[in-house]
Amino acid sequence: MVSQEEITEFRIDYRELAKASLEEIEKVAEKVRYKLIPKVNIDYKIYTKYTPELKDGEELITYTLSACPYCLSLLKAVIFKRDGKVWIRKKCPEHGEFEELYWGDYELYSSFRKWQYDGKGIANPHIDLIAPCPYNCGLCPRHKSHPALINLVVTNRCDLSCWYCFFFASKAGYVYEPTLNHIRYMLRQARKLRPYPAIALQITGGEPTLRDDLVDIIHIAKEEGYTHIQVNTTGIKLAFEPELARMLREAGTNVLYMSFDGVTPYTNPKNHWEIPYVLNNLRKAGLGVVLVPTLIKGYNDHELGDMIRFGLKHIDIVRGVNIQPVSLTGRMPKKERMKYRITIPDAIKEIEKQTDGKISRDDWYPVPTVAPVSYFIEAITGRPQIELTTHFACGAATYIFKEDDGELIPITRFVNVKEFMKFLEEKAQEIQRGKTKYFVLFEALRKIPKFVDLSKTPKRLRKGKKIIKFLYNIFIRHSYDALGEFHYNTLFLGMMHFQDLFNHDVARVQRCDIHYVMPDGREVPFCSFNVIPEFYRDRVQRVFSYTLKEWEEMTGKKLLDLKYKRNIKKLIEGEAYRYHYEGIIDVSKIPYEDHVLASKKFGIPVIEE
Amino acid sequence: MVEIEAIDFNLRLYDPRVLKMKVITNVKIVDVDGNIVSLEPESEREIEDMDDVIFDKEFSNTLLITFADLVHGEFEGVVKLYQIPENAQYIFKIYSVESNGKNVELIKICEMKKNSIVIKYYERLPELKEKDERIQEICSVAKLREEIVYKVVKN
Repeated sequence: MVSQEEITEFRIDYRELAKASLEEIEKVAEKVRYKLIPKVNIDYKIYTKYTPELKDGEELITYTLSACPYCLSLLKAVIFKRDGKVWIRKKCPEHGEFEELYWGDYELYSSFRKWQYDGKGIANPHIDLIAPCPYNCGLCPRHKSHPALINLVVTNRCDLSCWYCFFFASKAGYVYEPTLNHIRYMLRQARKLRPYPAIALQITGGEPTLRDDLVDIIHIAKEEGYTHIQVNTTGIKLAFEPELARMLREAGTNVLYMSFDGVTPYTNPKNHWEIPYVLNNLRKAGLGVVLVPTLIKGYNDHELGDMIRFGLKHIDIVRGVNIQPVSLTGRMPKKERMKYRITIPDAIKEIEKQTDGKISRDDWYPVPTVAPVSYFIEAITGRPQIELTTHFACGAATYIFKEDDGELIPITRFVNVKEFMKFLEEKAQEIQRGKTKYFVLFEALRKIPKFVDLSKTPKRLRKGKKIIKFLYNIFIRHSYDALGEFHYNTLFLGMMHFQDLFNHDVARVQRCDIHYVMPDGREVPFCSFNVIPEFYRDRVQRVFSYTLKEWEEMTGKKLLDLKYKRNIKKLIEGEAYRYHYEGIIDVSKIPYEDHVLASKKFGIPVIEE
Repeated sequence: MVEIEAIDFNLRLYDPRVLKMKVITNVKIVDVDGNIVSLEPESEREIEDMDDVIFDKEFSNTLLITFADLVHGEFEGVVKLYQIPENAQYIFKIYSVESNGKNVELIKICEMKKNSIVIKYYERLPELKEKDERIQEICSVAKLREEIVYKVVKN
């Protein structure tokens, strides 16, 4: 048996592996993989004998498996309804009871649950079954969803030092920066999965734009068959390097996924000042962006409406706003957790309030709602389709159409989503049972218009019944050429609530479709990779890393010299700054001292020359 | 003599999705002379928490049902123990599955090697092909004669 010391000391000499061929990398990865799997009674214990009981006033929803937030041992947990909300409770024999808000609204929980569809799993898992879930990730045979989005960490270096982040290189004590050959190996691993190989990739970090060979990485991803590539960034480098935005676009980047925690310096000290310049440079490059707020109760949830309005104001370049309710890490007492905890239904209700009902709770659907679209197209074409079959509680989405006069029309107001999805599911089943495809297509041709209320459809889609033509193209002709026009002046609104150890639910992990490919060739669900970094992210990246000294010697650079220093004065004086926030906030009312304080408090130094 | 496990279970799930599933596993062997023998379990016991990996090895990839689903739902099940005769060449596990009112049969074939049992073929519920196509595949993968496979699967 491998001891804890062996695992924490184990490391390969990455300077040597950096020279290795693809085949040699593969051999090393396969050898290391099983060594790094968490071991029972060394890394965690199994305490599933104890089933948590319900208390007065609580109504059982279900039981599940979870992990202890402190010792990571496997526990049984109960999910229950109380006071109109959904809670999860578990008890560790060593660390006591943990109770957490799971979903802030039981009614929305029940209505979302009706949309649960499970996936087809992985036909060729990368790893054998040797440990209970969630200690066997890789993907293992238990996994129910194929990857919809693969994350590839290309560096743990970052030019910021946000106070809450422990991931970046100087705090971690090593530099994780896989070579191009190693990256190709990882991308190939993720493409091997069947029945649906990954086609969408997110390049992430650290800060991926710090890699000088980022464009080469995008080229490699294209060569390996990825058709959608997004770069997850703070955008800071792009604010000052328009050429980089152009190069990313030309290399094949589809969209940027950019941190955006609010519209003021107080709520978004990470990149408030740089965002206007990033958007300008993206416009020039023709590269779209999805804004990604991490939502914290009492901190930036009051700006949800403004964040969406900001996205709508810049709808020419902003493709969506994807809200991520905060995951709480570290040891945190319940009182403090409840202060910051916000869940998907809480955010949905806030948006309803802050947009005066223009985007209401009924406009949101859980991610797996669209699974029948895949079933239908797969049944008609005979070609496997991507299915979004996450757990219903993981995410929600809607689509907003902006009229020329500024009016907002969520897609749900003119498409009867519920009936349309039901129809597509039924027709897919009929084809599976042997009904002739042409009869089904004919019926679809006849019925599709009935799912659309033309009187409520946005004007440009109402004219000439364009909306119906779009639907015909997608569902009858399977032609997606006109989708660009369909998306014109639309804003995707999404939510994805990544878990933490307090609300951790194995049922959600097993259905996750956002994965990380690791340097040992395993592919791990987001909520294992980041929620149990001791067993996945940190454990594996450290093994395949350079020491800080090695990296600095090799590159001739100093890690700390790369830290970003902000010239606020220059940024707020620029026309772009005023233009982008105009109508959202009154920038003239924010004293310069407040700007400086917000940046410094966050950990980003301010310079004035 | 080698011992193997097989599992029968009943499951009702309400969250996160509604599912009613019943699975009965039958075990047959094909011996070195090509004879087909149906085996009876030597003993059986209720499924326990410690059976999670055994259960998942049996069903997670084929039926997409995991031990975590059992925890979620109303569940009863048994682990059956079978003694495999020394002259066995192939072990067939035939899973009779009733899932939300639909009945299907899945097959898993293992080959007896000197010191181990090697999985030669298994079927997954989400990708189940027509029976004839499956039998052809079994014959080619497991190197078994078609009439033997037909007999095992049909009887």
